[in-house]
Amino acid sequence: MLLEIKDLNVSYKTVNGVASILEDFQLQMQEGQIVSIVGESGSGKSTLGQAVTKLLPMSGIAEGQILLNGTNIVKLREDQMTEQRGTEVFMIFQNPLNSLNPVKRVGSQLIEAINIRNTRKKENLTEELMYEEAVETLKIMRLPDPDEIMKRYPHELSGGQVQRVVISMAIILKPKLLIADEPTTALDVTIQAQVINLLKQLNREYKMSIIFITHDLSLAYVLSDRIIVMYAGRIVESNPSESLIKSPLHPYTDGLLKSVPTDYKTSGTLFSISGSPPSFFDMPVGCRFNLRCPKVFEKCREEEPKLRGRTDGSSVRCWLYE
Amino acid sequence: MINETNKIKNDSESKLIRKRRDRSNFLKLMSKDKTAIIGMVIVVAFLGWSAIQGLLEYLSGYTGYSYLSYILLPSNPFHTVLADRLLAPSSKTVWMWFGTNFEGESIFSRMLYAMPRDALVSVIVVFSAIAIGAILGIAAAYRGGWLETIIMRLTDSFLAIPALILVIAISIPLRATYSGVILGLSIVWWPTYTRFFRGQVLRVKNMDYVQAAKINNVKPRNFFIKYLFLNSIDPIIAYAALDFGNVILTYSTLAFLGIGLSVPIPELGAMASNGLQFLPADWWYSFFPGISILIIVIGFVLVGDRYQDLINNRIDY
Amino acid sequence: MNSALILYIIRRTIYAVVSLLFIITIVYLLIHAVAPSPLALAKVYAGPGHTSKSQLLAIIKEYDLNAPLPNQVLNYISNIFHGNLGFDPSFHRPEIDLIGRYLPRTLELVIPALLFSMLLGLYTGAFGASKRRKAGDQVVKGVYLVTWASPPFLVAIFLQVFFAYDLHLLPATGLVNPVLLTPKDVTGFPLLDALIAGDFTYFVSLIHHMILPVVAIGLLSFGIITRLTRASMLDTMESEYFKLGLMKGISRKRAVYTVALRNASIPIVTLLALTFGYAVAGAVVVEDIFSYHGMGWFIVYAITNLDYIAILGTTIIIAISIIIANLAADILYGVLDPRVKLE
Ligand SMILES: Nc1ncnc2c1ncn2[C@@H]1O[C@H](COP(=O)(O)OP(=O)(O)OP(=O)(O)O)[C@@H](O)[C@H]1O
Ligand SMILES: [Mg+2]
Repeated sequence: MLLEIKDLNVSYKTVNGVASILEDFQLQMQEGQIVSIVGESGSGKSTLGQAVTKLLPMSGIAEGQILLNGTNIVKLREDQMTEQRGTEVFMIFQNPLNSLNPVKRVGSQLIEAINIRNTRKKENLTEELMYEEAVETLKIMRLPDPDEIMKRYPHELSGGQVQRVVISMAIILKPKLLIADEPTTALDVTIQAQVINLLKQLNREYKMSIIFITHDLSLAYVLSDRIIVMYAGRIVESNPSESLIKSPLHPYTDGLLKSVPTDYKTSGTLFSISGSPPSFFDMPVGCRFNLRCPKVFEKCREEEPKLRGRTDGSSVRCWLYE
Repeated sequence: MINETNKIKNDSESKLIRKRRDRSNFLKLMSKDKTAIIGMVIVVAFLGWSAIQGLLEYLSGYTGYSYLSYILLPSNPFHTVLADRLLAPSSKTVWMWFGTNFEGESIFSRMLYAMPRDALVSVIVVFSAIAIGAILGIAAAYRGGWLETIIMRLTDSFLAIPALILVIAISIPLRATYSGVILGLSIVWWPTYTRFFRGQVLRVKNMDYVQAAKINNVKPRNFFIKYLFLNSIDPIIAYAALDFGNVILTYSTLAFLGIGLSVPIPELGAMASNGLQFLPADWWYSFFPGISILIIVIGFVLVGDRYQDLINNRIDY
Repeated sequence: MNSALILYIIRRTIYAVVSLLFIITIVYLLIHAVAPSPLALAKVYAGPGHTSKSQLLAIIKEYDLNAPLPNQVLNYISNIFHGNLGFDPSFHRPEIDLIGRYLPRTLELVIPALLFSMLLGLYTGAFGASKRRKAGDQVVKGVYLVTWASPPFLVAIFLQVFFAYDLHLLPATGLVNPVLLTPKDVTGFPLLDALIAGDFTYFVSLIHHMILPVVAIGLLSFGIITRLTRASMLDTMESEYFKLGLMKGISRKRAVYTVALRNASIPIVTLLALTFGYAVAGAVVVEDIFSYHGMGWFIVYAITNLDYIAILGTTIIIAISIIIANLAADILYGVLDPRVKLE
């Protein structure tokens, strides 16, 4: 087991008190697996990634167990965590624009990453080799004029270029677990497809496990073995991709699937789930989705269902399946 | 200039709205930090006392009843008893708490009597600086072009001379009176605020929300006050809070150098500096006035610090 | 060095010169505002004490105070550029000579004090940020709050009483041990002159006398640097690039002192000139208390003697030094921050 998350709770201290974001989060990942996390904005996807890399904002608190190769990250000291970051786990942040150190050239930031891998794995690379590798990686990312880009400062690159530089760091470090937080937001469709293929390739060649965070169910489907759907900080459904798409269990997943623009030309309008996600300070009693659920009944408004495993390897949090 | 440089963040409209909402529970937020409470207590006590005592002093001058001016004080601050000169502090009677000076006057009473003038200097100077700074800074940022160039060169020029020295240069020909010092300080104090306002407005100006207001033809007065001024003001308030302290420090330094009030009227800085010649034996002479300045200024800095942390989202709740 | 940087430096230099012209004009106009007639102006120039009408007229003639205002301003500017700051009525010597004597001594105090306060401020600020909300942070905050908020003369007096009068560790007043013979004046800077003359005893005595004033000025001005460093470190430490640095596997300590401090020190550079101004203002009080005969002492002397020519001259010289400091800071900023050049 590469990653095992048990009963993870993450909360933020805020003006209005403590906001509990992730509650009762469970996840198990084998080596070489790709899991997608899907959910509306604000459902806690990035928070999950930050908890796994132990890089939550200062106001964030994580409790529970995050076992990476058997070590509980939640309990690790900062200096022990440093050794995990980079080569064991690496995360591509959601906001690409600010991800590179503004006062250092792109090249030296890439080489720094190579150097870390170099020291940890005792590869004894020379400076030239490291430089070449950096250029090579930029080429893989199809950045025009890699030699030129190496010399530039981050503010001299476009958002999409910065994002690809960050992705190339993942290629360089080859972590056992890669968390990609909406890595394709700043990219156009062709490059997006290319990044998805690249992730697949990394997964195949290096047995790299990937947690892919996205809004986009179709991307998740293309890429991953399993899809986890989140709603307001909760896992509502976890299912192998194929069956999630074909036979979604949770009404929320169903709604998400209906809002994917497949053939809206024929129907004319695009489906959308009515209402908006609840505030973390004002959660409805019972199921968190009950205000927007088309299949809501009595029980949903009284008590929150538990995430239940089912025989086919899926799990769902819904009274319909109790 | 502090904030202009330390915030190169891209604000979005939602952030702006959140900030506005935060402002409504300002007190609640301020008071979640112990040091900020201490700061607020000091500031409120100082300003409150100054308002009451200042009013009494004013009334006493207006009506001619000198008794009014020290009705709340433990003793008459001008009551000189030569036999009582340089008495050490004692807890026996209130007026003796901080000892007496060379003239045998109660230091505690004189400190209380002096505070309104420090408060008045800081309030006038900071508010006039904000007013001038807002007009020039907003004009510079909003108009741009040659107007901006001129205003900013002028501002930089003023900033190139330390306030203390510029005030000295101005207030000597102003005969170094109390109002002369206030005028002098006001003439030199605005440039920081001009830089602040300009920096802020440049940031705010391009936000969608302000752009939208402009397109929707919001009335000019409304636009400047509601959209530009109010959206720029937060970091400036934080800075101004500590700036009250800076003014008091500069003012007391001027008093130390002999510029300002004429001798018989008590002044914290002047009291502290008069006592210096009696150090270390009669330490209380400078110590208590000096410490009171220290405490007042710390109060303002604590409040300003907390406010700064609040608006930059740099707080633990 | 690329051409953009050079252009940037040229532009900044032009700004500096413009600022200088503005300052001289402003100062001159301010005086005119308070002394509007030539006669009143002549009285200000003449200093205190009785001056006869014919002496005043002589002053009016000498400084050409009857000329139209713009001419006077131009005249004044051109005088300054020729090194003519007027004739000091109480010392009976050209002002520029006096300033030439006192300025180097003050620079010898202010420059080490500035270095001291910069280093202290950067270090304590970074330390405070890395220990945020823990005991270390609180101690740093306590220390800078007290030194910042105390009236400058109290800090100086405290150092004097404690280290000089009580512990007898360092001399309480003066520039140098008065028993020693002054080495030949070559550069105007006593320290350099002592070195050139090879007079080691004199050099050490100078240093001894400098320590307390330097520490006093440094303590008075480091708080603002600590505060800004801490704040901008905290901002940087929440930034995505800082976190990406950690994400790559750099240790937190290294990230704090390379990535965060490096980025946070950029805005600090802009404070350099401001701190220099603080230090000069601090020197006025500190030199007075330590009877250190530099510019600060000279200003206080001029205040007590209502020697206006001296005050005017020193003000302008101080402005010039601060503008130079400002220019240095701007250039440093341009070198440190790759983003600046394009603006
Ligand atoms: N530093 C913070 N302090 C307080 N609350 C926070 C903080 N960061 C995030 N949150 C809250 O936590 C919740 C989850 O945020 P998160 O960034 O994980 O969402 P997300 O699923 O990644 O959304 P998106 O798709 O928009 O990136 C949101 O409601 C957000 O408001
Ligand atoms: Mg996110």
